[in-house]
Amino acid sequence: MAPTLGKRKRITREELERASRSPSPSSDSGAEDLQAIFRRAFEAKFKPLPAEPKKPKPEVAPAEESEEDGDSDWSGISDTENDVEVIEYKDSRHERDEHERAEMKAFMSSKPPTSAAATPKNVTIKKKPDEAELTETANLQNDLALQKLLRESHLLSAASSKSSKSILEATGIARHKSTDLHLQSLGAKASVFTQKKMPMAQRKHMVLKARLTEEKRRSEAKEAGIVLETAKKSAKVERERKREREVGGPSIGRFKGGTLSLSRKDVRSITAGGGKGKGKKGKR
Amino acid sequence: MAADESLQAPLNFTGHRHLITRLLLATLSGRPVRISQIRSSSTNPGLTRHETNFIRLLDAVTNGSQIQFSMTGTTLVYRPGLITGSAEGLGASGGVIRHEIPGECRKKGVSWWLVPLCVLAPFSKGNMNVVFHGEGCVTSSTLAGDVSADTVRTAILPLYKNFGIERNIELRILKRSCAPAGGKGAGGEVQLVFNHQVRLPKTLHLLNPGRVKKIRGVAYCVEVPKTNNERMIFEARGILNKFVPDTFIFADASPAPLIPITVKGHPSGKVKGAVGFGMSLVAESSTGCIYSADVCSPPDGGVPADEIGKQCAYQLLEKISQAGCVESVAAPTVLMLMAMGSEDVGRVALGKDVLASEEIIQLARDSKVFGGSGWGFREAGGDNDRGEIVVSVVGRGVGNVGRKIVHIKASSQTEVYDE
Repeated sequence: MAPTLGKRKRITREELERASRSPSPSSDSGAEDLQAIFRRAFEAKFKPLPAEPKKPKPEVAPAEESEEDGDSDWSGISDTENDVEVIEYKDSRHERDEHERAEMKAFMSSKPPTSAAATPKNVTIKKKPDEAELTETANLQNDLALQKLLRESHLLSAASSKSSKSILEATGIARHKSTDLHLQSLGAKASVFTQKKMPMAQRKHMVLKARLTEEKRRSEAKEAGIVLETAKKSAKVERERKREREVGGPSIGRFKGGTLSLSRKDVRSITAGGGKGKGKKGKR
Repeated sequence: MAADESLQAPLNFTGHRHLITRLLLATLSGRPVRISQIRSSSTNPGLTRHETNFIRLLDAVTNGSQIQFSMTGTTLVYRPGLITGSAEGLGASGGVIRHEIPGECRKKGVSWWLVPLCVLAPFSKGNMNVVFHGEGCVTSSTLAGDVSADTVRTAILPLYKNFGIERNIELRILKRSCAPAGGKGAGGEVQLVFNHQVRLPKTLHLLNPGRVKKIRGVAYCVEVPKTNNERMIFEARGILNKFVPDTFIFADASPAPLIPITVKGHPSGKVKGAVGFGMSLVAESSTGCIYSADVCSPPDGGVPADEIGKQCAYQLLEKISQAGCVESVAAPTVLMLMAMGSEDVGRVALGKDVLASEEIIQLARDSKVFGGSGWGFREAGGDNDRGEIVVSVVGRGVGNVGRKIVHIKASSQTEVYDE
């Protein structure tokens, strides 16, 4: 190491800082190391090689000190021996990320870890909405608002007819009714205002009346050329189906002593089920 | 029915070995057992403290069990009752059984109690919710060969999924503790919640071990610097990363649990439990098979953390090299659940080293004595033969007696309703 250190001393700081060593005048000593010769030959033919990174100052300084030592083998106590060796038990490339946190949650919870929970979730990156999409969403929202307004128009008109000025926001009972309509459009089975228990005749009349009112409103609107909300399809009336009667079902036969005995009537009720009009009229 | 059982002649066994598996098989099959000559030639004859403590636990989770000891404790007669779990009024308060492990049992890890209890839990009539606490409750692995509570949670409980038992199972490590040295106490606390009871466990067919795809682990330290965790993780990762890049080992540092003492004149009335550190690693294969390794610092210390991490990683590699779908720690659990399953042939591939242990072979013999059918063995063969043996176990088809009664009751009610 000592001879190479001696060589390095001849290169001054300016030379070190220069971009390339190629234009540096070759020393006449002829003791250039082989690498420098090769380097110069290479750089003469091709482009200059990138310069070696500049050495930090503290490393250069001890080299210059050793100049005074001359040819003695002992190169002094190096400063590095006093340094305390520090070992980091941390993986430098191992960063705590979202995935690891999810893994930790899955593994360190009190539940036994499942392999399914550990599958990495693919991260969805939110795209920035562009102009076209913005207008599209705005249109859709407006459309929805318009539909709602149309749906509730009869409530609003009824409310506004009472008061002098027209209103666009439903209030009071009208608001409750509009909420109810909204719920029904979202899939509620029945209106919250329907009375659950009442005499059948009364209910029938109510349904009839509601239908007639609705028809009247629609026909009037049509005559006046007013666009109404689209009519909701009324649920199909369930045809009263004959009950399926078969062996094993309730009220078929008589089960006694581990055997099911069928009476003549039971057999007839099963076999004659399909035929229509064969039996006597008015008799079940 | 109870009268019939009391008339049933007990099965006779001798010796203290395999006491726990015999008691488990007795409880699950409902057959009374008589175990004699328990350490009869030893200078310290009879049952040890941890064995009597386990019998206490059995008594707490069952209803109607009868336990008789001889004067010296060398003979035990056990007539099992119904596994009721932590039913109210039978030793449980607020739906939780608090089971104390006294200081004399500190040589055994808490997994010694946990693993058998987990086998009983699916066959319980009600929910199982047990808190283990006390001076002898060691959550880390021990020199006696018991695994840590972490390994029970991450390597044994997931196996119940294969039997269709997977909902509402939790193992909470409330206070960590290490194996104590000298006369110290451990003072850990673990809660097992096992609320998925079944009529019959599903028949298991586990023949393809697959290839290890991920490794997870926990490095824990109690009352010692966290750097121990980092050093263990660093070493273990250094070894395992070459084989499986998907390796995550998490660190958990906790203070030592405080144990109340009754010594007069002590300022706080509490002392700190044992300290130490350890590591639990779990490797999962592509087909869901699990291998685990567990190393803990010895109670007297003197082993650096790096060494523990290295040992644990090598232990895991050794377990994986033993091949088979079930490792040695979990094999008794799996085989016992298979034997208690439906009357159908279940198959599992085991490594030769796992199968050829004294514990497993005695389990096979005992389960035959308890009325099960013999197990079948054959070479696995196939393309990638790693010297595995396929064990075929026919279930008893009895399953959960408590659930059966409930089931019949329900069905009879519906019949009445139909008529």
